[in-house]
Amino acid sequence: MNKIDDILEQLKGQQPVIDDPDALTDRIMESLPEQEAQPTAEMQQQNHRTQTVALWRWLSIAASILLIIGIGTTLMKKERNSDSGSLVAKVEETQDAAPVTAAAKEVKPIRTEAKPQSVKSQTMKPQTRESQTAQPAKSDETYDEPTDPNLHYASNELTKDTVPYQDPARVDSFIAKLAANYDVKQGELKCSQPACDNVSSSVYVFPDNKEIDLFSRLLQVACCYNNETPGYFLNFSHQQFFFELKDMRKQLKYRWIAERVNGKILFYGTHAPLGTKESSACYQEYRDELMHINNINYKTKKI
Amino acid sequence: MTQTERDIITRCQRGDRDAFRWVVQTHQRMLFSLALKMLCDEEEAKDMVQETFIRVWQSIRNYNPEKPFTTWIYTIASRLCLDRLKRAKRITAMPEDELVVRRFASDSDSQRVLENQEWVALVRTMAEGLSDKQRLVFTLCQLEGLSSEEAQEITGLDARQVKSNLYVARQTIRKRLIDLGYE
Repeated sequence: MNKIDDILEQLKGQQPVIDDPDALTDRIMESLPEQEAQPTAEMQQQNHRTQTVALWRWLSIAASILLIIGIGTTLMKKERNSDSGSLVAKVEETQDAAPVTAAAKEVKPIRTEAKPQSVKSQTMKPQTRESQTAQPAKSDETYDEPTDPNLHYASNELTKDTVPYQDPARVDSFIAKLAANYDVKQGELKCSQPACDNVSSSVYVFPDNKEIDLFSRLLQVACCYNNETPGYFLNFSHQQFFFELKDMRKQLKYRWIAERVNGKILFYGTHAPLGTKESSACYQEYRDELMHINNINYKTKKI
Repeated sequence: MTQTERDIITRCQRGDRDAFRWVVQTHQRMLFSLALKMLCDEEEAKDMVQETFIRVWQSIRNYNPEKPFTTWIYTIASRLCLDRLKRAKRITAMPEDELVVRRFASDSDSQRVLENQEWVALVRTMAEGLSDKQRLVFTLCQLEGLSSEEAQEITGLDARQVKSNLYVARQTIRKRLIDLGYE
């Protein structure tokens, strides 16, 4: 009896025989479905031509649309320019409408007087018309009112010319968040000078690296403030950053100084009531100290 | 692939039926062999061959001449076989099949050509209990004598899967033959 491997080897490569191969071939050939017609060279050329025509058609449509858009845009621009000209003319007309304003002025006292409802409704109708027509001139009149030049924008009486209030303390909070993010501790600076008692100061020593990029960030913060903000003063170089603001609401003066020292950035922020005499001695003392003590993150220096 | 074969396939791709007849005549026995060993039924095998050639005819324009034509046909046939096996009843050995195996094993003539019914009986006995994939890999590699790379191409399995399927199939068949008293 053969071994298993012999049996398997004997079977290898042997093929069963088809009893009637021609019959099977015929059967197969008869059952073949119609093949889709092979595109001839002529048909291919025709297809190619059709595709090219279609492509050109789409291209011409796209070009036409672009042309229309271009012309439309140009015309619109011209129209806007001409519109702005007519707007100027309208402004002139508004300025000419002074008599109407005068009429409105005349009506004004009637509005403030307490009158019975029935009477009011009768008199209001013509007033409304007049006030509608006179509105632009009237608003002009409001802004033309002389404002107190000493009145700070932060006061409640806002006029057209005022600058929106921007709290300078937000610089401090930004610095605090930045320091917290990079694990930089805040050091308190108490000045030994008696004149500086009212001055509240904080110091940080930031690493001078590209990741923090403190100078750029400080500059960005400074640029967020309107340069018409009271006390706005910005001065910076590669070595130093100096920024001042006044908060007229809280009557405080803010100052921030940053300086590159020994591979670190020494940041010094201070605010004090307006009029407080400040001495740079505090900062100078602190700076000198830092030249010897490299990192206040481990030791808060009280001056 | 020879230049003649390439020309014939190109003609088939253009819809030449005479050229396709040559393809059928050349490859039908090969496909019949695979089908009979897989399906263990002569008529079923012929149907499968017919279906395979219909598919080949329908999709011959998609055939990539860079790949062997035989492998491509085998791939189509293998998928159709597996589909048929899924639908068909489980192939089980008949009591009389054992006699065929014994006769074949005890035959000293190693060149003896087996008849189709003997093939069916042998495969039914040996491959009983194999999964469809194991049966396919065993048939391709062991019975049809294809290489592992060709089996990978045809079955879509990777080398490791082909190897493991073939190993399990051989072990199962070996165990089955040992049960029948062979060593």
